[in-house]
Amino acid sequence: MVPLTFTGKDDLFKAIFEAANEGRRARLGELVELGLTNGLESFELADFLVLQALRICDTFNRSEIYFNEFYLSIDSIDKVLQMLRPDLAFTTSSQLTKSTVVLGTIQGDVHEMGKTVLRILLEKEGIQVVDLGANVKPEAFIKAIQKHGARVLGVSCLLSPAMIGMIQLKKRMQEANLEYIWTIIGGKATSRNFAVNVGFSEWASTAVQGAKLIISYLGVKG
Amino acid sequence: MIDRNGLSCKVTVLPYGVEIVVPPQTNLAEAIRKTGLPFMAPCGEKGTCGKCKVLVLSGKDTILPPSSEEIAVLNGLELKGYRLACRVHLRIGHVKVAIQQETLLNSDQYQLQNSFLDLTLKPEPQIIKIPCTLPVVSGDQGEGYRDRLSQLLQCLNHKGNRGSKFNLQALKQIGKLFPVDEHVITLVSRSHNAIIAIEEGDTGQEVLGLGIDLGTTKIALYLIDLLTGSLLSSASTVNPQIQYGEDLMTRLSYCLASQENIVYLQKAVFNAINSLISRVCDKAGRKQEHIYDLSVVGNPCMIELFLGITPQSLAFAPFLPVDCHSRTIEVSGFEISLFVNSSAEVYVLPAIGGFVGADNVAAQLSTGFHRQVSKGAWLLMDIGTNTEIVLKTPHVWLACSCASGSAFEGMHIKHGQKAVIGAINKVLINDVTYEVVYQTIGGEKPCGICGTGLIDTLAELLRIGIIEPTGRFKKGIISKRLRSNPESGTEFVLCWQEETEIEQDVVISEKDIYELLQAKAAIRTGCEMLLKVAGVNINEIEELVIAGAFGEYLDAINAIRIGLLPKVPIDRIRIVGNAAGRGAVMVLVAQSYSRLAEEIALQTTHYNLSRDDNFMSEYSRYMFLNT
Repeated sequence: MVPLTFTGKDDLFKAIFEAANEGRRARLGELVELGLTNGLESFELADFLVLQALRICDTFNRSEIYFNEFYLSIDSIDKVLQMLRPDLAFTTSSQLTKSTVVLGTIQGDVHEMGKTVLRILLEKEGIQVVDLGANVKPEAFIKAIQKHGARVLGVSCLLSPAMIGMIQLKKRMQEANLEYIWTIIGGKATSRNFAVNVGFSEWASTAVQGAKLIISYLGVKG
Repeated sequence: MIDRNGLSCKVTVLPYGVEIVVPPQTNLAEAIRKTGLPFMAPCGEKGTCGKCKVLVLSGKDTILPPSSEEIAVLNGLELKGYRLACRVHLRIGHVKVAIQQETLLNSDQYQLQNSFLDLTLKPEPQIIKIPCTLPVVSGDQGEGYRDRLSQLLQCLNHKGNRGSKFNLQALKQIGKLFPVDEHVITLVSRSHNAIIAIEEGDTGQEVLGLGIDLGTTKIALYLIDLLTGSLLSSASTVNPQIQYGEDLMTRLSYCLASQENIVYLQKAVFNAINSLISRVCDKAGRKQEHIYDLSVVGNPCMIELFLGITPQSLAFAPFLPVDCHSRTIEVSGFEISLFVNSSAEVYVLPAIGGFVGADNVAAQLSTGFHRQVSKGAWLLMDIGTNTEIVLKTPHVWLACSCASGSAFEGMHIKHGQKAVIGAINKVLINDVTYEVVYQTIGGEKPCGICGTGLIDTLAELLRIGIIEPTGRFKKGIISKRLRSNPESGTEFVLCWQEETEIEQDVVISEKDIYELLQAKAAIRTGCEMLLKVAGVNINEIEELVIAGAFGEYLDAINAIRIGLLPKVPIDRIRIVGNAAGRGAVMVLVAQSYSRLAEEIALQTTHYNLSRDDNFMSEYSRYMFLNT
């Protein structure tokens, strides 16, 4: 194991790269602390971590790593990013920063990794994200949209029975006059057909694609 | 079926040569199933698993070309004329398709463990049989049913029987009994209370019971002589519901799509049970109408579908059954279309909660688990498509269920298979040469690998150091047995084509290993989380009981090496086979056990893993082979 002494930015980033691959949350946290105490900027470290998340998503999508490695890596990156967040002042210039996105995994489902990746990617752009977590009732989505004045809603679903919740959500949104909210769905159980049939605005096959679609929507409309 | 214009959709299925006519727009998978062939669609006809691919031989012009999604699944095979049957909607015309045998569910590929049959119970039969002779009716037509009835009652009273009630089924039979000459009949009474049947001749020795173990993947039946408590015969088959989805979640979403679908699933199970009933009776040379008592065990989803209850609440988090029935459900055979005596009663054993059902209660019952009272900890793992784990200490009695999937039952593994003749069940690999020594069931040429063989293979690959703890093959190792396959990653050849029965190399690939890792992680996580919640250290485990999928061949050292089982000393592990089925039989043989079952169901607390925030990270951790 490499001892925790600062021997330059390149060495540190190499160590972060390895710790992210191995999904070692504690070590990743220590390395980031080490960087901060040695004069590196929060945003530099955060950017590098997000880059690692993207790279790990990519290797996962290419089946080069298994789900558990993916989970442990993304989970540790996410936790360390949250540690950095308070002192992050993302300086993205666009109006993206003014937009709020509500995210959650639908009621009846507890799988939220894709959604977590999406949050990481959106937050990097300075977008305000309200992450409601997993097993979220349609009512809770409605309340969050109203409370935060969100412009975009992202909902994920891995288990197919839970897709019923997606249909209920659409109904509730109509009843609450929130139909105009741009809503994107994703997750293993969903498909473009399903999104079109139920009447959602977009469907994404992966979290990375979802982030691109949301950013481009907000960028254009903003 | 012919529509108004006299035009129809006809399908011919080769190599079986069966034909069927269906209405336009029927999907091809459904049409093939209607021919009676047990055709598989493990993804629940979503067009994602690719298992239902068929080769269209003629009539291509009558069906629409494949969509881009279908092409993505077919991955080039569409150019050779393959289609996904579940994605093809038939139009007017005649289509000829060929299906591969491996897409059919083979009903007899399962073997039961022989160690099952060692019951030493004192039978307490509920059914009392009273053979008696009916005298010829003397006198004119004025005497009739009523006189006959009173004669029968007298006859009963002679035997010290309180019973005076005849149930409807018995009354119906009285009508048929007017003898010309003196002749012998047998009155059948349940618990001395009512006459439930009247049979011709002396059938005093024919008191049968039937234990039914409804598994997600397998259904097993045990025919029992209730007078002696001995097992007469048994049979098992694939649960035909598998064609509507291999795992419970897919099956549940199929149910929720329409109320009719629940009826299909229920009928599928009844049909399978009925054909097994005639099989066990034929084997034992007994009659179906002499089956008076049935007991059913299974996970809550299987039980709800058996009873025709909509299993909606099981499909969504927090995944609870309609009724955490801590009491036995009694159903008369009359209400359920099973081919047994029409007055038969069905006992559905109680459930614990979540997906922990009657099968787990039965497993606890038959392993004597509930009796453990000393100060250590006992762990019971009933491994199957759904694995249930119970932890009992003087302070806690907890059970959880893990969606382990059917990888260890051979599903989703390229050369995976049930424990049948020719299945590899033991594997040794040389550290240096990577030469493989294996053993097959029955000593025949290998045709695949069964669960215990898969565990051995993983453990050996890990031991000789050619796979990483992640489950992937190490880079840079050169051996003729290692090669890369574009579809399934690197693969290791266990036996060469010429050694096998199947005219191809038997291999294990990274894709197979991934499936096994997910199954083992699910099982082990459940285990460790129960221990953690109860604050039990692994050293405190006095006994680890392994029930279910693995038979006597399970190499516990290897199972521990790959992290499927917690690291307890080998001499504390007891392997018991189908404990749930045995529990079902115990309840049949001696009714007092059903009260014990209710007690177990009440006392055991269900621990919901899906509610534990640490589940995903623990699961991810236990997917590594060295954890």
